[in-house]
Amino acid sequence: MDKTEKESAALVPGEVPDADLVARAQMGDAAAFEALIGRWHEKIYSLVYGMTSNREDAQDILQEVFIKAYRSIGRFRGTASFYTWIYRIAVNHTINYRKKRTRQAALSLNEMDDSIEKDPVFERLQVFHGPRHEVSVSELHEKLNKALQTLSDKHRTVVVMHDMEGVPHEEIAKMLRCSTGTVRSRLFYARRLLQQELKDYVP
Amino acid sequence: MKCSTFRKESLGARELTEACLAHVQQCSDCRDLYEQGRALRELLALKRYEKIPGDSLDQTRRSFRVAVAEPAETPGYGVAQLLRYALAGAFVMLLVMNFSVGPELPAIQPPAQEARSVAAAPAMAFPGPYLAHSNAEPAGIQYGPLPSRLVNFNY
Repeated sequence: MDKTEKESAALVPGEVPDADLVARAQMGDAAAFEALIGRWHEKIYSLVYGMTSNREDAQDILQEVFIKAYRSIGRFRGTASFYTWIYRIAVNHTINYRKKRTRQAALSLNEMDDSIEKDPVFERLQVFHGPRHEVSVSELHEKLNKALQTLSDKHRTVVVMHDMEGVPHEEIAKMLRCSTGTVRSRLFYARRLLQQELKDYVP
Repeated sequence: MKCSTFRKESLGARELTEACLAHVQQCSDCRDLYEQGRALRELLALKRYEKIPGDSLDQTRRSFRVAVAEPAETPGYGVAQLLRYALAGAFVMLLVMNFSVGPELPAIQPPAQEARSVAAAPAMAFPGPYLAHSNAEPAGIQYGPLPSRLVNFNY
């Protein structure tokens, strides 16, 4: 079963599969594409925001990605899933957007959900640091994003896709048009750098 | 299992296979590496608590509708793009014309020899060797233009 079939199988009964919406969008049905926006908006936003750590940039890029995807939907042949295709557009567009910037944008972070304080990983961090230096949510939030921004674009992309979005190596390789070996080595190198950056938080 | 195999297999794995688990129990280096990697993954996963702005989807939809309503710009054929191509074409044409239909220049010839009349040098009488009296030779004759003079090297 390939990815498109898997996605179709995971759909809520009555929900139109991506492939059908894509076919309608290719015929010029903007409403069908809007349905795709609604379906993939959150995932693409997380990816772009993870890569930029700047909510204004993330929103701008997200809008441009969907418009670009709509304008080039005629070239989508359906050999890969829509999700792979739009992820690739999002990654390339984000990297190009950042390259065009003459200087790096400052962090502009989204709010954190309060339920993080009940997460076992966050609770373990408090124990690890001891009562003298409790880790605040905002401090951790900033540290995580700053650490990610120390990575190069290609390394950050792999970390965000794999460790945050849960995309498997093979899918990442398809999206970035490189080998799984390259994905693995980038991930290994990126994690080593992140471990140095976040050594106060990783036991 | 070799350490290199373990590292390759465990790098992207959410859960370890039985072979990997057996290796982790034997090799402390790989165990530490795996634990560190897992802790880092868990830490990064906390980013999922970041909230997506509530109006993000609406903004995206709005901008999409505006873009769809505008006439789609055919990539590469905007006025500026067209002008750029026209200028580049004209430049290439000029280059080609310069090389192909330009006037043929005559072959380069060496400059003709200039006829010069040179006045005959006046015949000079050869003065002959200068003979000076000297005490250097037994005959008292020194051959040379002028007799030697003392030079003050301490000057």
